[in-house]
Amino acid sequence: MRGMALSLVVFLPALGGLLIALLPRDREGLVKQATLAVALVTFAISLPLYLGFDARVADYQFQERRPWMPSLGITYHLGIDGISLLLVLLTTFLMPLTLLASWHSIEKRWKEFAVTMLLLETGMLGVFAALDLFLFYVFWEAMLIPMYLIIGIWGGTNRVYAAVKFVLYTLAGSLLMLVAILALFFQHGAATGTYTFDLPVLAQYVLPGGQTQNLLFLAFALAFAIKVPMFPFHTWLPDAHVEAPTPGSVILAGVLLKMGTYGFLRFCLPLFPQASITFAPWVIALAVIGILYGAWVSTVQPDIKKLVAYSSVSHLGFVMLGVFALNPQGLVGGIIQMVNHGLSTGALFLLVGMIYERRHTRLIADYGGLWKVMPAFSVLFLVVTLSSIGLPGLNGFVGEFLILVGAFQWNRTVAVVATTGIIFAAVYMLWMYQRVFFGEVTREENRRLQDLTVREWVVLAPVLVLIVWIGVYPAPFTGVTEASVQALISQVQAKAAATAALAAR
Amino acid sequence: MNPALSVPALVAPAIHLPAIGPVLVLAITALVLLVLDLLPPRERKEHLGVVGLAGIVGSLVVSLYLWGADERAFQGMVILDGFAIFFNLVIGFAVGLVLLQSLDYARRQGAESGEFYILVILAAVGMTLMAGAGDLIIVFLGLETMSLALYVLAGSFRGRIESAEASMKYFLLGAFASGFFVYGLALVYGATGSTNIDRIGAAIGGGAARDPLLVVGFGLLVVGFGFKISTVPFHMWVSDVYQGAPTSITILIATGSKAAAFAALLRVLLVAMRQGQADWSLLMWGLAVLSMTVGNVVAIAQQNVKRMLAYSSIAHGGYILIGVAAGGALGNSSVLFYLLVYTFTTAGAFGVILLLERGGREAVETSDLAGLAARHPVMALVLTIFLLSLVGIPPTAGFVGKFYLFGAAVRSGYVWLAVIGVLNSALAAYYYLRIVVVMYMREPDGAPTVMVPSLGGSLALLVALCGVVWLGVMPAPYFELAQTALAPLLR
Amino acid sequence: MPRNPLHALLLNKYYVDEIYDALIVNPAYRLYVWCARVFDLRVIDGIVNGVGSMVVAWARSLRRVQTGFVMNYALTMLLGALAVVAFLLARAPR
Repeated sequence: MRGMALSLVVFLPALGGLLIALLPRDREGLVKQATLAVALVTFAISLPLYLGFDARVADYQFQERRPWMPSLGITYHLGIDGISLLLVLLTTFLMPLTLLASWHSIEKRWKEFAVTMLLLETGMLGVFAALDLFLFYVFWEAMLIPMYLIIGIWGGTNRVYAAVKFVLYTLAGSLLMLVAILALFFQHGAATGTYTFDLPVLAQYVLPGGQTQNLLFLAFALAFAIKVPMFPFHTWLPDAHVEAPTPGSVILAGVLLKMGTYGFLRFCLPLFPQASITFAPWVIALAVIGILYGAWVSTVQPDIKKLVAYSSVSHLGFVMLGVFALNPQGLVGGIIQMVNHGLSTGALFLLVGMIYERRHTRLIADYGGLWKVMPAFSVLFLVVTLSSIGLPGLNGFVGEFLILVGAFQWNRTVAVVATTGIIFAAVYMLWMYQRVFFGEVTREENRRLQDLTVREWVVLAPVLVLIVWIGVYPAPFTGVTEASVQALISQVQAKAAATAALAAR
Repeated sequence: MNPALSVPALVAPAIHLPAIGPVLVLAITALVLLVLDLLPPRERKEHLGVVGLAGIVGSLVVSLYLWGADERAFQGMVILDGFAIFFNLVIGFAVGLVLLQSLDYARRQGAESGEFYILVILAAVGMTLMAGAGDLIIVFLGLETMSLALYVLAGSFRGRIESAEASMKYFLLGAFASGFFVYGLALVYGATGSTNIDRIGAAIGGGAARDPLLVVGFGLLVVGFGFKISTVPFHMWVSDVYQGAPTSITILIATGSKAAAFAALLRVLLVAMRQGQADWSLLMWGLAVLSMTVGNVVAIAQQNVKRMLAYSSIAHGGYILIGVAAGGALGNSSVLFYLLVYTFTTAGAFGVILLLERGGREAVETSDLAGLAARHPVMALVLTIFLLSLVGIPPTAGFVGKFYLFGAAVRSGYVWLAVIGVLNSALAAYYYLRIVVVMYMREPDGAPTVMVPSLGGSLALLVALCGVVWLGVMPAPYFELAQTALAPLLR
Repeated sequence: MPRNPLHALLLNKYYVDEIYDALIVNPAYRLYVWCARVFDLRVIDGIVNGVGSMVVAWARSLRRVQTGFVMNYALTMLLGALAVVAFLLARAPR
């Protein structure tokens, strides 16, 4: 059974979803409980992955290799290392909470919603666990349609536009990546005689530097940059977030966006090291622009969800900065910040969803003085706000600090500019918080709002616990990443040197 | 006994039956149907369809039984090799699915008659002949047999003017294209001295390659084939014919005749025109890009689902041409594989439309599908899966098929072709997903669209669905089958 | 009410808040609004939606080529045939 642990974690949601599809639609209570159970069980069986993970080993663990299409060099190869472990756990952790949050907020066709969410979960887990390029691509694409349906069916007024925008934007990028995958496959096969899509094997290959590597890097990078989302490929995100239902936004921000940054780490760096180093200044430039631009645009948003959406552009700009600084602090910081963003922004969307359920508006102007009416809610919102800003003591600080240390080693000016991003983050978050929670209760409707229910406490508490835990004692989380990060950096540097040596000959 | 009066022993010509086994089974089925048509019952003709189906199954069984054969018969006019058998399978599936769907559909729409089923089988005869043709004359024979049957079948909705229009246009333009084909055939004969595909190839290898007579003849042959595989600029008949014809016949035209045409085209390109690959490869490149782009772009502007699927069919012809342009074992195998995938996907997508009715008439406008997910969730889901296969989203067979095609293009160095193909796929996603949007996210106005219960139709959908899903998850054995089928042509 | 200019200066806290507003807060806010409403909405999304509209416009005009007249179809086929043959002839060296 141990040999199938990872497959089980990846596919259990989909299998559960198929079973739930068979349940009668009018037994909604049963459907809801069954779905929650599937998600909880998935989380439960993902915990042994963490507990059984050997932090000293840099290589992939819990590997599973089965031949799938040997004549084409495609294997069913799963595995996780320090980089993907935390993302897998983030996914299995957020899913049950998201489903619990959708208990009442999804009003129609709960069964189809449940099945779609579970299929989405399998897609996401597969993306993080896949070690074969073809398998990765299958999961990456397969994840598009459930998200499209979630936005398009259960979303807001302009949901069709947002859903189509999301799909076409992402599809264009990822299809170009497909061509790059094929090109890499044939290049490697022609050079070494082995035709394979297996990532560890391909990562060993020293691709000659120059135009080929650059083009392949760019094709992959475009697909991932759209997903992150990096400036200027970010415009699908605000629409998607605003129109998506609350659970959709939580999963979108919490997990889906991580797939972009993960892609850079898992594929661009080891496969195209020379190109990564060559393009690093450009990527970092776009990342820093994203940090500032995202923050600036957030500040003037009247809609809270759109504000948080643009804040994601800003936060993930920090992650990209950390990743492409290409040093241990930057990378560890980037990975932790991926998890942090998932938790903080996920929590923000959960909270926004809760007041939306009460008042059916997301406009800041419609609120004010909520501190007096919903004290518990306001406190939790404050904690998450501070986490998002990066207050020391909470999780955001750990990630941002490490990233900025890494960036500082890369280039001081860039680091200084990026640091101002923290100030801007404080501007938009605190100003928003002030207008929503402080001051007088300006609207009558707000006086009668109910504070958090038990279910809502259950949804928010685990996230809050982690926010504080990672902020105060991050070692259990950063610890598992360090070995893999070091290995990645050495691999990138060694391959880049080998590429240079190859060119010199 | 007077020796002068002794009659010499009759020497019968050698008729190599196995080589035409599948064709023979189908032809006999057609004759049986002709007789059965005369017998009662007069009003219901479904039993003819069932017998026809039995004939198809029989033909498939014979093909599989003869697997591994590599024979030429009738002085090399007919070939039975792995290639022909593979296409017999594809054609068999196509015709079989069409028959299953027609059993109920034809009667429901008032198109049923004995001739309907007989002509379908005769079309199958033509298609099978094309797949197993060793001589250009036989290609033409099969082409005409198939086409004439299809022309008439397109007009089966006798009361409706679109059907008559479809039939007329198909006939006029098809005859025009056949004219090009025969003219090309004649020129090639003039240049090489033979109409036999193998011998033409040998003659060209010997040095006739640059003869302008041959080049022009070959170009005209391409025009003739191009019409049938609906490549731009010979595609203009497709939208009107696909829209006007009975939907099950549309499926037959889209899948069966396309497969047969590709089979014959590949034989001509790979065997007869092997020497000129550098040239026709580039030509196919251009045709592929044109077909994909025009097909996908115009599909965006369509409101009628059948018309939209017609343009999508043109685009898919373009994707397949990518494989032809790429060439080699990988390129051509991906063509064969994609034709199989395409057959299931198209039969499935049109097959769902076939089963829907709104206010007593066929539900063929996009707006007719609004809110389908609420009333018939299973149908909506099934159509969604077929649409996803057409887009090329994993884990459907459509994705794997495109994966092979684009892989072949990259392998042969046509990276830009792969990029264009890939961008076209993204473009196509827009109009395919638009149907998903309408089904799931819009409310219907007016009479609701209902699904007509139909055993044959549902069975056909089930088969198509299994094909699309299974080929998407475990494609390797079938791809290897395609590679084996190609081996005799690449020698 | 302030009794003299010095008193006014002190009463208004050296006008520090007003200076901040004029020098930093308002320009910054205008920058943010520009980013959000002009750049993001009109420039970037303009390109994105523009590509979409361009394709749809292209689709509508290309659709009109399909006139419905068989003669036009046949003419297109003839022209296509000429193009194919011309291409192949051009590629065949003497």
